[in-house]
Amino acid sequence: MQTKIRSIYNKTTDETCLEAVHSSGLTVRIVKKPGKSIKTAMLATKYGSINREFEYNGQFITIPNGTAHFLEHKLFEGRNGNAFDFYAKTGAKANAYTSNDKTAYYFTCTDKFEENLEILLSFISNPYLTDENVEKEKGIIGQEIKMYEDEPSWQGYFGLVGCLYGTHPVKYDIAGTVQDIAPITVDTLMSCYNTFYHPSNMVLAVVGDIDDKAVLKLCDKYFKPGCTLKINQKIDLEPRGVIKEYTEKTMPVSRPVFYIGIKDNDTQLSGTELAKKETEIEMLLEMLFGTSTPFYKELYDKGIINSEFESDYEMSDTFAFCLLAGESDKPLEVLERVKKEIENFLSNGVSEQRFIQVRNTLYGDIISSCDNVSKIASMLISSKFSERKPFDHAQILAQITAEDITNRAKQLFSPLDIAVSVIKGE
Amino acid sequence: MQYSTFITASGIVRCDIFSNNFKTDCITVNLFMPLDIETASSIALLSAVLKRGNEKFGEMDKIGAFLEKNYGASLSVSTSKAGELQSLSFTIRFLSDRFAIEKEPVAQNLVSLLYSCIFEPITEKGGFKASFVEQEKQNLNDKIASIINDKRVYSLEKCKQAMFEHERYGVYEYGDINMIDKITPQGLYRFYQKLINSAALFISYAGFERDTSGLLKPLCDKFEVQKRPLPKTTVINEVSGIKEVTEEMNVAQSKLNLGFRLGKAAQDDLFATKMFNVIFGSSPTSKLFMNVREKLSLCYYCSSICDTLKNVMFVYSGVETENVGKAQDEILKQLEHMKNGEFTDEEFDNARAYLIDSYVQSADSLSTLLFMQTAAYLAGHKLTDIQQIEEIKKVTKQRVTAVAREVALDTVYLLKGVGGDKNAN
Repeated sequence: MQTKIRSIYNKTTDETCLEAVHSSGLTVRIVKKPGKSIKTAMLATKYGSINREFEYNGQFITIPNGTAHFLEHKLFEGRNGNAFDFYAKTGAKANAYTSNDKTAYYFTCTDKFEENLEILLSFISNPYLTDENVEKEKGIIGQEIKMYEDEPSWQGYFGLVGCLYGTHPVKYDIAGTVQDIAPITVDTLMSCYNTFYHPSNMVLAVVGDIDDKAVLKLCDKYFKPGCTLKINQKIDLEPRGVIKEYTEKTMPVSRPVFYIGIKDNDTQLSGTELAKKETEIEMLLEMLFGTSTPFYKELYDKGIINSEFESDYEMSDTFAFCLLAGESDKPLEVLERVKKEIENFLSNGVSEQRFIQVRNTLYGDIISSCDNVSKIASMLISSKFSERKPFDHAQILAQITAEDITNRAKQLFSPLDIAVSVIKGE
Repeated sequence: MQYSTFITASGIVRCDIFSNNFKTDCITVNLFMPLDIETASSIALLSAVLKRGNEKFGEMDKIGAFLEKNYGASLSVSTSKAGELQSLSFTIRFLSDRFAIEKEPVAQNLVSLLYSCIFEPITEKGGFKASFVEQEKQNLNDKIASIINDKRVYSLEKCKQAMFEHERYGVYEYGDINMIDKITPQGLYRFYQKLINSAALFISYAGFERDTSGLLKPLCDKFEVQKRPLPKTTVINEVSGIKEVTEEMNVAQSKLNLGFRLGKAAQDDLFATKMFNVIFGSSPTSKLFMNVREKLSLCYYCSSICDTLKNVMFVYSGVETENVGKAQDEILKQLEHMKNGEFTDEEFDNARAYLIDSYVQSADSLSTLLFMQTAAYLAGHKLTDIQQIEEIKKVTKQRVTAVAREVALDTVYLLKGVGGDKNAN
C-alpha cells in the first residue's frame, strides 16, 4: 500500500518536514538535509517510567518500577548477537535512553543508512527475550543503578521529586532499585512490549541526506498493516501542594548540592497550548534567574552560588515542575532569595526591553538547534507525542506577549508549591 | 566544506573552516602554555576572572544582556589540558548574520566582545579587580574540591596523580589548592600579560563562508609579534614496577582505574594507536565492552581512553567491590589477546568503520570540527579529516599488534566501596 506523504514547511527555520502515517499506524517524520554527511534515525515509543499501570489481556496490571528502562536494555539484543555487533560492521553510533515518558532508540551514521535503519527496525520489532538473558541483564543494570546511587546530582534530583510528588509515578527512579527489578521476567517485559510498542504508539524520525521512499519501504517490511491500539492506562494524578518542603542526604561531596523545585499544577493542557506554556515558563525562568539577572549577579558576587547554577523546566503531559540547581554552602538562603525574586516579579511584572531580550535568546536557540540532526530528530518526536506540527516553536514564541508571561507567573507561583533537596558532605 | 590552515603575517596559526550547512558560526582563540603546578591555578583563575567583565561591556549581567540581545549567543572562557600543555580558550558561538531579524551585524558584535574579553579586562591598582580575584579564588577552591562529587572523574584523576607523581602530566588542570592562596590581583595580572605575549596561539573560525581576515584582523593584530613555540610533552615509555593504590570510601560501587604506558611503537604510529584503542576498549563492540560487560556482566561501563600526546592509556570501570579482582584479570586478559594479535578480521574492520564514521560525523558539529583541527595542530600534523581517514585505511593488523605488544601496565588505582549495601534503605 502506498503511504501518503505530506510536506510541512516552516518559514522561520527554513526547514521542511515530510510526514506520513504508515499503514501500521506508525508516524514517520523525515527532514531532508541535502549535502549533509551525517544521517540519523530515532524510533521512539510514548512509554517511559511513569507508565506503570495499564490494561493487558482484559485486566489492569501494575508492573515493577524500572521495567521500561529494563526493556530498553533488552531490545538491542537479538538471536544472532546484539544490535551493537551489527552497527559495528557499518560504523554507525547507536544508543538508547529511557525517560519519564518515552523510550528512544537511535543511531547516527555517515554511510549505509538504509542498512542501519533496517538494523534498528528489525531489532525493535523482534524482541528476543529469554529467561537467561533477562537474568544476565539484572547484573548490568544493577551496576548501573549502583553507579547512580553514588551520583550526588541523581540523588539530589530524585530527593526533590520525592518532595514534590506523592502519588504521581514520576517520583520513582527511572531505573528502579535493585529490589524493584528483581522480579522482572520475560512475561513482564512482553506485556509492556505488546502494549506500548504498538506502531500507533510510536514515531520514527529520520534526518539527513536520505531517500524518503526507501524509509517507507523499510517500514512496510517491519511493520504490518493494522489498526490503532487504544491503550487503557492509569497514571495517578497529582494533587496540589508539596509532600515535604525539605529533604537532605549525606554523601561524599565537597560542597552542598541543592535542587529547588517549584511544582506546576497546571497539567491539563495539551498540544500547542502545552508547548506555549512550556515556552512561557522557559522565558520566565530566564527572566528571573538567568545569568544576566540581578538575582544571579548578587548571589554570584556574594559567593552564595557559582557558575554551576542552572534553571530548567521539566515537563510531560501529566506532570511539570521548575528546577533550580547548583552548589552552595547556604542552600536555604538561595531558597529565600528565590522566593523574594518571585514576589518581586509578581508585583512588578516584566519590562518590554527585558522581554525582547529573552525572546531573542530563545529565537536564536530555536534556529541554532536546526544545525544538529540529533536535536531535530528529538524535536520531531516530542512534538508528535504532544500532537504538534514539527518546527512550530518559532511560531509559538512569536505569539507570546509580555502579558502572557505575567499571567503565567501568577498561575505558576500562587500558591507557591516549592521544595528543596540538599546533598550534604560527610 | 572547505579547510584552510595558514600562518598570519604576525605569526599566528589560523584555521578557517567554511561550510554552508550551519545556521551558526563559531570562533575560538586558544592560548597554550606548559602544564605546570606553579601556573595551572593561575590559568584556571584567569579563565574565570576574564569572564567576569571588561571595560567596554561591563560586568556579567551586562555581558549576559548583550549576549541575549544577540540571539542567545554564547561566550565561554575555559581551560583544559592536552598532554603536558594547558590551554586557555575563548569561544564565541552565534547565530549566522543571515538569520538576524533586524539584520544586526551579529558576528561583528560578538567579535568585539571577544576582543574586549581578551584584551580589556577590568583593572585597578595595577592588577585585576580585587573583588573578582578573591571571589574566583574561592570558586576555584570549591571547583577543585568538588571533583570528589563525581567518583568516576575523581578516581581517574587520582590514578593519574599516582602514576605521574614525578611528571608534569600529573598536574590537575585546575591546579592545586595550595597554590591558589598565594595569587594576588597584581601577580595574576603580570602573569596574564606574559601569557598574552608569549603563549602559542591557534585561532580558528568555523561557519558560513565569509571574509574572516577582515572580521578577525583587529583581534589578530592586537597580539604582539613574537616567537610562540608550542610547548613539548615529555613521553616516558619505560615502566619500573606496577604501582598499586587503594583508597576506601563510603560508596555503593567501587571504581577500578588502570594506567598504561603505550610504548615506542604507539608513539611512532598515531593511527595504529587509534585503531588499537577502538578494538581494545573505546567502542561498544570493543573487547572490554563485549567481555567485561556483556559476557561476564561485571559492570555497566568499562572503557579505555588514550592521550596520544602523552602516549598513555587509561581503563576505567565501575564494579562491585567483590568483583574487582575478576574485572582486572579480564581486562588484562583482553590486553594479552591484543598483544598476541588475537582479534578477528571482523573486529579489525569494525574498528576501522567506527573510526572513519567518527571522522565523517565530526563534520556535523562546529565545535567538534574546531576541536579536531586543534588536536591536529597539537599533534603536529596538518592532515584534514579526509587525509586522516586515508591514514586510518592504511593501518594493518600487524601495526596494531606491534602497538599492543609494547603497552605496559603502570598503575592500578582502586576506589574501594565500603559501608555496606545502600540498597537496603
